[in-house]
Amino acid sequence: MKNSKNQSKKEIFKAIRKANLKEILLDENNINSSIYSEKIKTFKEALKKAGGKSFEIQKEQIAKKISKLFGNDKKIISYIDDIKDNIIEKKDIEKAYDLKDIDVAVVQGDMGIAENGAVWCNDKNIPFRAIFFIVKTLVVVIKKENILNNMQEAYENIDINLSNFGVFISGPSKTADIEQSLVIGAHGAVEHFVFLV
Amino acid sequence: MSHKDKAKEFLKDISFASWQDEALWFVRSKRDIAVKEIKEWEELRKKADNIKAHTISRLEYYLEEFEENAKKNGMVIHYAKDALEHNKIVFDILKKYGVKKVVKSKSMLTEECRLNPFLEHKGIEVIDTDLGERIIQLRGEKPSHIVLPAIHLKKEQVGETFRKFLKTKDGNNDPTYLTKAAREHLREKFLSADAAITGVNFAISENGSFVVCTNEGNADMGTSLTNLHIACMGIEKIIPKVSHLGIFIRLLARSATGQAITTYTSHYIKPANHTKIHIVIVDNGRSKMLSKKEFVKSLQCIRCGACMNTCPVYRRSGGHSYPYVVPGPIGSLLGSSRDLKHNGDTVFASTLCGSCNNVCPVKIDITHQLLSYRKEYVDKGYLSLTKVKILNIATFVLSHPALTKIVFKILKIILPLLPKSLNLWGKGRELPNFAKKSFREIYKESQNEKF
Repeated sequence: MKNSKNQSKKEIFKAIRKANLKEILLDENNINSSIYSEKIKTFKEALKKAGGKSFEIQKEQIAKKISKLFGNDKKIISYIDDIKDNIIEKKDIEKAYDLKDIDVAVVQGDMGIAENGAVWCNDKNIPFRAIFFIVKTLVVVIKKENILNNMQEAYENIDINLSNFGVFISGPSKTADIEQSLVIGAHGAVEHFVFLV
Repeated sequence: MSHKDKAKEFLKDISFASWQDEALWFVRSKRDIAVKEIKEWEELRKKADNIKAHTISRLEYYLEEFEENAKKNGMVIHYAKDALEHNKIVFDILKKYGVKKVVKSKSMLTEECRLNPFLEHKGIEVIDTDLGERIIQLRGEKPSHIVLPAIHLKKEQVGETFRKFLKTKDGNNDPTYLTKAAREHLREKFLSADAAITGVNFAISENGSFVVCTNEGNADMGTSLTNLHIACMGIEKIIPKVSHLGIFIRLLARSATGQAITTYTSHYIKPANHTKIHIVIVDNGRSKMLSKKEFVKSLQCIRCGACMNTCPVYRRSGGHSYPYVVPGPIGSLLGSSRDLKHNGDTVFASTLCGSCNNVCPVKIDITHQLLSYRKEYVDKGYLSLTKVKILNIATFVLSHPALTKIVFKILKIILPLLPKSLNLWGKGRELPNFAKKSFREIYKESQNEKF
């Protein structure tokens, strides 16, 4: 198999070379992208449009807010120091599959993007990346000062090689595959909260 | 059956055809609103066009760079010349890891290669996990749109399918209810699958990572719950830098569905502990397109579907009237590049109004290419004999000015009197009223007035 693998690569590259395309130079100039005078407000509006909810709160109040929102009988897993896991013990989670009955996950986000309401999360401190998708409710905590204007700023600020996996999440999962009717809660989270601290 | 004949079938149910037209126009309108929110939109398109054109002009270099970096990240790279080799590679990987059940997210490439029937034939269970794709998989149909694969179905038809396969309640066709049922059904599949197959939206050569965009989170569920991820991509999916994602992510969802960004934009950089990522890089006719200079730009396509939503012909003929796996304006080009004789009649399924060019986020000159393919189609002798005869007569008449003058005068009198059935152009459309005076007459008069 190894040989045929290299053989196909050779043939494809030969065909590419044969086309003998003249190089089109890459334009290195940057675009002046839209910036927003009220980034937090714009972020919150964009998130709302994408079906998510946001709260501006003090860091110390996160725990209280979580228990207020979800009560005491929900299975909560937290990757934020201030919040205690509820019912679930992290040491009991040995594989991604074990996350299947968790109701709420609280994770740290690195940044938020005003133009689209997305937050950037990575798996640096998270053992299973399934956590972002498998739970019913995802709570992402980000610092207000980490809200950026647009995607170009986002990619300038992400050190993408620091993690194995990273994802922009904007709102709960959704689909409109049946007659273009928007339905919230396709395969990923049904609810999506962003706490701005 | 030709596109024309299939379109005729589609238009028999005129109320459904109108519904489809409106549903697609609704998506197009949402796109317009989303686009207007970005004042630098045209600059973004120009930039995206340049990045894609540049990358395609140096494809060998960027593929090598991507491979080298992806390998450093611990991913395994395979190359496939054609669809069959792609399918065999995917099967061999699955076999090696003893996979019986695989969850798949949307990938037009695997549709193009007909991966599902290949794997099923080998005894592997393949579950399409995008809701629209799952619906059509259960129904044994093909996608009719690259972003909205089940846009050709009404909720009653989906309800009927789910009743049969998912045991949903009789008569309940509520989209929310049906989506919930699919969520339960597919969650069980995600939790029990052995591997995940996804497409690739963008592969970044500078760090060997790739990006997959979904709204449902199906690609993400699949890849994060199984230990083997096979990502399939065409050779044209490469972009050079991470910073270029800032351009393309802004363009993609706004063009496709009018969203500011898809719900999930996932960046696969390194495999998680104890998991494997294999990438299959596929040619399947793409390198051949590189050598046809006037058509090379169609390789820039990022599969947003905007050209379909805006196309007056696509909207009124439905995706299934196109023979190639990708329908609509861009599909007519891609299909023709593969098999002009078989797919080429779709290059005539266009009014050349140019709306597709205007919405295309990477500025593909779609109508120019359609026109070039028309020429090639005629030159190769694929045009029907009737049309050839008509064109020959027209050529003769138009190359003799005196004759043209007489023929036009006669036509002006006769055409409005002809019964509709005798006028090929009169089918399904009204002939506009003829002007009282011809251009020639008006021109002559104005000349007389002047001098």
